[in-house]
Amino acid sequence: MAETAMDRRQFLHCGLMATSLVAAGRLPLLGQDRREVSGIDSSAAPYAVKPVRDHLPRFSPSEAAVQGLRQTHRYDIVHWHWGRTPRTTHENTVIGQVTIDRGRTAAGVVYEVTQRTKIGGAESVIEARIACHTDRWHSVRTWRVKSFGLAPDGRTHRDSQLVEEGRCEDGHIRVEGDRYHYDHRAQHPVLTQWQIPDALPLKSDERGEMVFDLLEDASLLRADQRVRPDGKIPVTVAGSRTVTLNTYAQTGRGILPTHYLVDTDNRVQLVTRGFLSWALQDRRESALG
Amino acid sequence: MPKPNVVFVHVDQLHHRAISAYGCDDVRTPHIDRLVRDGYSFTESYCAMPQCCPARASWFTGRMSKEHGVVVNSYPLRPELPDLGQWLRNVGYETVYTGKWHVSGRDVTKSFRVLHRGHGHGELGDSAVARSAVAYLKNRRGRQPFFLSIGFLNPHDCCFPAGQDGGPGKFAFAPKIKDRLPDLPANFDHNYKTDGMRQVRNWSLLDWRYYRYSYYRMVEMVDAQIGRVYDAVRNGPHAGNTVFIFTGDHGDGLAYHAKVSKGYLEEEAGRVPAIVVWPGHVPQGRHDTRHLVSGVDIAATICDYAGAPSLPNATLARSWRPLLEGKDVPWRDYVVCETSIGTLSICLRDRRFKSIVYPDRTKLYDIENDPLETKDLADDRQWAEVRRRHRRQLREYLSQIEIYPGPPGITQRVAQKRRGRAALRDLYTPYVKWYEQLKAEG
Repeated sequence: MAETAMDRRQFLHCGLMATSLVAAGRLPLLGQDRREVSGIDSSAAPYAVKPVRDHLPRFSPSEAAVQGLRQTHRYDIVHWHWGRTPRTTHENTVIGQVTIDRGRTAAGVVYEVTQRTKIGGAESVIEARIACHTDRWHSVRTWRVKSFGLAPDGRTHRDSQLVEEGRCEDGHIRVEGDRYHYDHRAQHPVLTQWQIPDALPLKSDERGEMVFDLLEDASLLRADQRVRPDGKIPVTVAGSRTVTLNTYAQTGRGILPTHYLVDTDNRVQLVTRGFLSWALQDRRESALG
Repeated sequence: MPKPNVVFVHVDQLHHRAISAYGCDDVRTPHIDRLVRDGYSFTESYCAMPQCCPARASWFTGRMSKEHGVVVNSYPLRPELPDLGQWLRNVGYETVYTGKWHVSGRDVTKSFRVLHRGHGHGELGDSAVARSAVAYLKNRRGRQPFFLSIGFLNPHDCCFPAGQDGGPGKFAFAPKIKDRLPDLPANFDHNYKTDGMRQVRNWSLLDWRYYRYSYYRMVEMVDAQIGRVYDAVRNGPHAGNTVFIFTGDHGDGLAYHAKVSKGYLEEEAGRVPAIVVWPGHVPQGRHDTRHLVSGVDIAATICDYAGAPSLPNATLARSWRPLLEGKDVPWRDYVVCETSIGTLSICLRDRRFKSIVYPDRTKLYDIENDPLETKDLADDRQWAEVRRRHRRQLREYLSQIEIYPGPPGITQRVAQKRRGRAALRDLYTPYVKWYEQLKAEG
């Protein structure tokens, strides 16, 4: 009986000690769940730039000052992959570029996009022209997308060329090839991934949020996307310079959490996803429209 | 009637429950759901082995992994075995491939015309793979029937966040979206920090839930690509004469039993979706819970529709066509899945029970009443006869397959060094010896 009473005292004592250690964060594995700290992710970089942390020392934020609606942004497409040597756990490689040209015609805002990526030795090209509605979002109205693969000698691969045209009216999206079509139903304003940098942070509501449906590559509907402000973070870039960037986090169906890093002049310097991110390389006035 | 075209769409590492049409509320898969509505789902479907190369080699040869030689990833396919691409070419098909192939030891270009090779990350390659498939369907001319095999990679991208430092995964973002993270499965093993797989022992519970969240988004990514190809088939000129087959090579742990990845024989890794769509020829919206099917059946089914003879010595592979045509045909009593990853093991699943047999022990589950495999019945005397029956069936299975002893010169190849490590380990001798012992039990 006496032994049992002793055990209980010991148990209570140990329990109290463990509780205070957990509260102080000194039992890391138990404290993790309580404090909601990741156990797997011990990277030093803020999560918003984790997929590009190897690229950052080579990245110089663009400081080009361009006013007005006619603008061209050129981003490097940065790929995350495991390190190729035992000394590096991860690396980034630039595998292509996307050039987003925005202008205005009598009918409204237009975009022209050229996206080139080299994957496994094969170069894939997407060329898109998007005409927008006159709503505050400049959501997509009509578009034409051409894609093709290039052989190493620069010739277009046989059978690889695909041209699709689409339109979006009152949430009904129809995309047509010359021998097939497909339809989507959107619940929100529809944007492609190429337009979102322009929408930040200008199109957000009073809480800084944006809700839209994403038409990825002007083809695939990713519904219910939300972008929310996610705080300011310091980012160390080329020349060991540290810049402070506003972050916006996008979550929604069919995408991994995506972060937009925006400087004080509203330039979207970085867009990070899972394996593919964008890093602003050049910004200038557009001749489009 | 002309020979039908065959479009074979496969994904990588799709958990059999991660489909909204099958009741999963954590993911939205409107396009796979359409396949479910428009086609015939085999719900009791298993891969031949839960790893990429072996499972894929079984699709394309109709043979089990201990027959075709791809016993784990990167082990070579027996050179003398024909694959579906070569086989269908012989009966007049244009054979075309795009995306992930991953049948080690077999050059895909010798068997198929290749449109795009995809990439080891689905986020990079899957869109280009879908575009190449749609472009092919749009641009092709001529009357020759075609066999188009489309290999999407996702949700396999989940392997990278499960790696060192969470790979590119933004695990530290999880608290910001905590209210949207899926719960853990009912059979999650909370002792994982001491008893679990090594790579997950330092994960927090929030890490697990973020892993599941990311996984489901990857499923949605590939779902849209599947829909794109499906639309190009169904709304295009080949609609009336094309059989559309969809499956996955193996599953993913997805936190079930506190596991990630694959290679083991629990349901999360071994069970896969399998759907066939051909309006007017295959019943729509049918869920077949009766017939046990296997990855080796893919080859037999495609050969049957193509009017090709069966692939040589594919003794276990059964064509699904009679079932899809509503015929009441005798069917197998059990299906087998095996692995050489970690502990050598074989699982045998009948209509109700499943045994996982290791060289030194056996686990037994009542899958019908315990689909999450929470209670091992192996020591329960009530089910001793089931154990004995499974043992007999195992011997029957081993007598039906041609057990591959490994390539000639394996000893020399094992001795070769690559980057200071053995080029190959001898994974052949252990199963050959064990299978011979099991056969001798009879």
